[in-house]
Amino acid sequence: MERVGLVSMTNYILRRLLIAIPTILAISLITFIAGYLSPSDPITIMLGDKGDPATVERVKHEYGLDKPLWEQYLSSVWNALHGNLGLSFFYRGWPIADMFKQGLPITARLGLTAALLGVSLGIILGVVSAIKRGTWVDKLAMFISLLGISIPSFVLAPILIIILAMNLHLVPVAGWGKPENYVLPALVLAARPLSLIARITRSSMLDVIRQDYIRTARAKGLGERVVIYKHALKNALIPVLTVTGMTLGDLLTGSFIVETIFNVPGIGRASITSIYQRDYPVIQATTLMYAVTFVMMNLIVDLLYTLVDPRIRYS
Amino acid sequence: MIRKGQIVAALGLLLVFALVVTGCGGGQKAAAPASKTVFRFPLSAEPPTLDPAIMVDGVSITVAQNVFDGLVQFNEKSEVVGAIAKSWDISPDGKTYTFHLRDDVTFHNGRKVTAEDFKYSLNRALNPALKSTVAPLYLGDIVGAKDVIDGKATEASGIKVLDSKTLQITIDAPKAYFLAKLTYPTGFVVTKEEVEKGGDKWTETNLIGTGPFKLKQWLHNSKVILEANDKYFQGRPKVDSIEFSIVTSEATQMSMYENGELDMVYVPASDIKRVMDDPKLSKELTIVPHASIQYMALNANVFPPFKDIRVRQAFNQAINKDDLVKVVLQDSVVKAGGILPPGMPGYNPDQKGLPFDVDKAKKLLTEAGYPDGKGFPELTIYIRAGNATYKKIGEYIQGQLLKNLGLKVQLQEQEWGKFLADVKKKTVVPAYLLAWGADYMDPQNFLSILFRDGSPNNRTGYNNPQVNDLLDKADTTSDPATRMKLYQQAENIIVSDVPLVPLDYGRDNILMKPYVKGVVNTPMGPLPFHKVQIQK
Amino acid sequence: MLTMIALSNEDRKIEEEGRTLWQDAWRRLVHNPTAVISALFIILLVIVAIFAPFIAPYTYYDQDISHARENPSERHPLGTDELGRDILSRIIYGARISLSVATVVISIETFLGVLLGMLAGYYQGMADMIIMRLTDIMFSFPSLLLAILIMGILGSNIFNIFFALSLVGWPGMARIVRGQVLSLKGQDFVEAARATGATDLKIMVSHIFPNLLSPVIVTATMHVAGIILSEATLSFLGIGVQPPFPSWGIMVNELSPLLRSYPMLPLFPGIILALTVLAFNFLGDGLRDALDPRLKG
Repeated sequence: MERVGLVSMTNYILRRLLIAIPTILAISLITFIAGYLSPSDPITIMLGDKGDPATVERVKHEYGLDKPLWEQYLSSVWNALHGNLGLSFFYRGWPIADMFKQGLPITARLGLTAALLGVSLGIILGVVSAIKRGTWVDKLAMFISLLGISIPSFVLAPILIIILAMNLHLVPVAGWGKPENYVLPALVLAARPLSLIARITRSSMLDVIRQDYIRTARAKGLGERVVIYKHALKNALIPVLTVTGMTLGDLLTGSFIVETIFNVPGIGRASITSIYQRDYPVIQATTLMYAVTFVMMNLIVDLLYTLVDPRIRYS
Repeated sequence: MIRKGQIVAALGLLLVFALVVTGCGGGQKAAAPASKTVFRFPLSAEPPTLDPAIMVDGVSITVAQNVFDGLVQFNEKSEVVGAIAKSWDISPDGKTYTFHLRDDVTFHNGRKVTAEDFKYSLNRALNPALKSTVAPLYLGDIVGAKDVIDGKATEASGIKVLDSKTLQITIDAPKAYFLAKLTYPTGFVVTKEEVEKGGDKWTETNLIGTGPFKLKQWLHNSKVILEANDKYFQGRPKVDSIEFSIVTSEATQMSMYENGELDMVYVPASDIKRVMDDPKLSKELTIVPHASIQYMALNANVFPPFKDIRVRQAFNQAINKDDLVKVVLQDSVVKAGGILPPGMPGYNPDQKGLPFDVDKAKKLLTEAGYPDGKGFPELTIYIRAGNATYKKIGEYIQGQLLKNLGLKVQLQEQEWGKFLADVKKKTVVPAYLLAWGADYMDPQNFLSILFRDGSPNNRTGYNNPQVNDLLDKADTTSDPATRMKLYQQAENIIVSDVPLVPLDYGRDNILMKPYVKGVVNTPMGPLPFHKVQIQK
Repeated sequence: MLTMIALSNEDRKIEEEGRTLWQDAWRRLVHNPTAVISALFIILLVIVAIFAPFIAPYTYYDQDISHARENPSERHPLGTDELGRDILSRIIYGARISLSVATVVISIETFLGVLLGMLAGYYQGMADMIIMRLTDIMFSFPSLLLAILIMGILGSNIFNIFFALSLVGWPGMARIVRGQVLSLKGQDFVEAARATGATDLKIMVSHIFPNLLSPVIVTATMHVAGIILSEATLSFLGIGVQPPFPSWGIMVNELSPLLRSYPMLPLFPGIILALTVLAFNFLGDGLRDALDPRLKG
């Protein structure tokens, strides 16, 4: 039984990864074509108002931007397959590989901190309000989670800056390198997942508590704590997991905005900047990276489902 | 029941975990020890490069000028004075410059600077392999520079090493502004052996100059840290290091300053009134002119009504620039009458420009055949997308033209790259808002570049033979007083011809902590920071 | 003959059941106060948007320069922005942008999603393969990033917002519809219809589609909140509608530099944006509970 499960799981993972390859190739082609369809070009942006058209044309030629589209695409794919992500047009002397080396761990750590914050606080908030259903604790928790769902991050961020940094002086406004720099961006990033998870945990807990087997457990005279932790929470976690999986995507998307607002030197900020600057090689590399991450995250979430809920089979 | 204690414990555990996760990052160093003095200054963007030969933007220059030096530099009065060159001779025909170098200048790696190093650096900047977009503009006057740019030669014949301490540069025509162009980073000296050792990444691994500071750390998109060069030939810097924080949002910069995270900041327009009314902040405010002008270009190449001088004048006189400057831009800038900004040599304080006069403007428009704006073709003003100031100005002008002339004009935001590309084509955009900032402090950089017929930056089809003559004469005249008079005459004609509507001159509204001394702010931004002191 | 009658009786029964189902749902919905208040709020917003010129005290572009940057007063109930424009009026006109983006985008993506989802689920095979691969591609991409990319390429105007947001929105709907169709296809009443020789089109339109309505309505309502938020985010990033048109995101963007000096002003569009998003979320919740009581949480 164990062995069969393992084999089918490995098969399932392999199949999913195989399906992902054409998807990722398609994305790379789409971003590439999209970049070149754009009426703007990186050299003009780089040069600003200075310099004459002849210089622009000359530099474009030197970068190979006047070569046929397919030639440029194939050479970029070829280089990427050889581990050479290329050079940014805009940041000369800062290879994209280095950009990733610096930015990815930062974005990942921030995302992880936010995920941790969101999931744990969300579950705590949800459980507490389910247990204290109808009391002011419940109402307060649900009100906070409402705010978290409905206030966009670009509104929440300046409010938190003013309150926590400017008035209470608890944390710095922006900057990077110290642990306290994580607080604001992680809070803003976690706001939405936290709220969604709190709400789903609460309703799912309430559902479970009403179920027969919990009543039975209670009737059997098991302690309330045992009932809540051992029986109710465990069963209530399945829908929580679904929502968590869904909100991981939010974290990734949120990183663009949050990293920009709080000056976090992560990959999300590099990605947004590259779009504004038409920095094709960076756009290409970052979007691909996001696509791969997205595919992997979806896979992990699907696998987690099967672990939590044995009724689901790999199909 | 879950007890409160458990919740607190869980929260505490979570916090510890979060800190562990964030703490295990590594790679980021803690702030400098308290005994060292640090000057903290914001950069509004990640510097695209620290290679002086290719830099086009102010952010990169702000950092680079603290790491490198050239032959000449600007002083606090925007005059060209010696840097590594202690003196120079100019030949009677005004074409040959002979520079005598100081002999006490060393690179950060300890090697002495010679004339050969300058020859290498200038030719390197011109080399097409470097893809420099600015070298043609700043070094293109040197004899033989074009051959290097075109790949026909590796060295410009106009750059000669006479001996290890003497460098001779010959230019193609007498140009009084050539020395000013040499102050730009393309004229900085770089270290051949380090550039070659570092390869593509030399700006990170081998950034060796002669300047007052050395590169210590560059955390991209976050900060650049420089530390003092003890052996700097113009005297060791007064602070031990500079921390440039890269913060794109003006509002965030302002908050960081008020929160004590920065020592100096440029005040955003939205906060000026608050700063001025604040008893503490207002004492920390310094206002310096910035050598730039914002304008609305009226392109007669594209929009035929702009061929009529009366229409152009009507546009100029129908816009209340006092309100624009005072209300919309909160006195963060100065109303523009002419073209040359305050601080620029040749600036004419009496140049008031055409006055705001709605009746006159209406009359002019009627004479031009558009009474009350009737029959005026549809016009679209283009602005740069994503820039709050241009948007505000654009919306304001749209409102003024509607209210004062009855003209319904459209406003179109356009993404920066497309906007620039279209504007440069000269035949696409009928009217647009843009700014021009000084590359070097000389009126030629404004008047000849923007209004001389045939200049790539003259994009509105403006061609007044009288102006052309005056500008050509001024560009080659060597006597400063005569030159400035010629430029002012040209400016007078340009102002009444209205090829563009001057809106406002730039201004730097600077907040500096009281313990910061020795920052020299000029119309082209702050000078290198080696005289800055922190007196806490 | 007999079978025909039997069938038509069966049909009528399903129809009756359908009607009572909707009536039940309605009854459940009106007994849910949060959903009712949300719905009323949305209706009010729609009325305000439609009659904006009659309701707003000023136009969205009038510049009262001598009263620029002012806190709320009698003259300007919610204050003025940096050009002296009335913030209340701009919020009212801004509702037009937010709601029209929401309406257009949700219509396009629902149409596309239902169409493609039904094709994929009903025909399976090649059509299913292609459509599901397409949704895979769209799903392996943060949709906001894609929207920003599209806007960057096409330029900023409202039609490109419609396009960009619809393009990233349809796959979610398509997947849900496909799943529903797959389970409906095997059910008796579809088999029965097929046995009588009904065409694929007829089966899809008159048998499967009515059963899709409730999940589609719930999904669409929930998604409207996301669309409004996306539009605001794009506008906030400076890639939205053209000036001087107001959108709530643009207003937050324009007013946020004033946050330190006039903290109240940027909050107004922020609050209305949050309330609207909230209302659509609540209504979506309410509809789900009403239409599918089993999912009630």
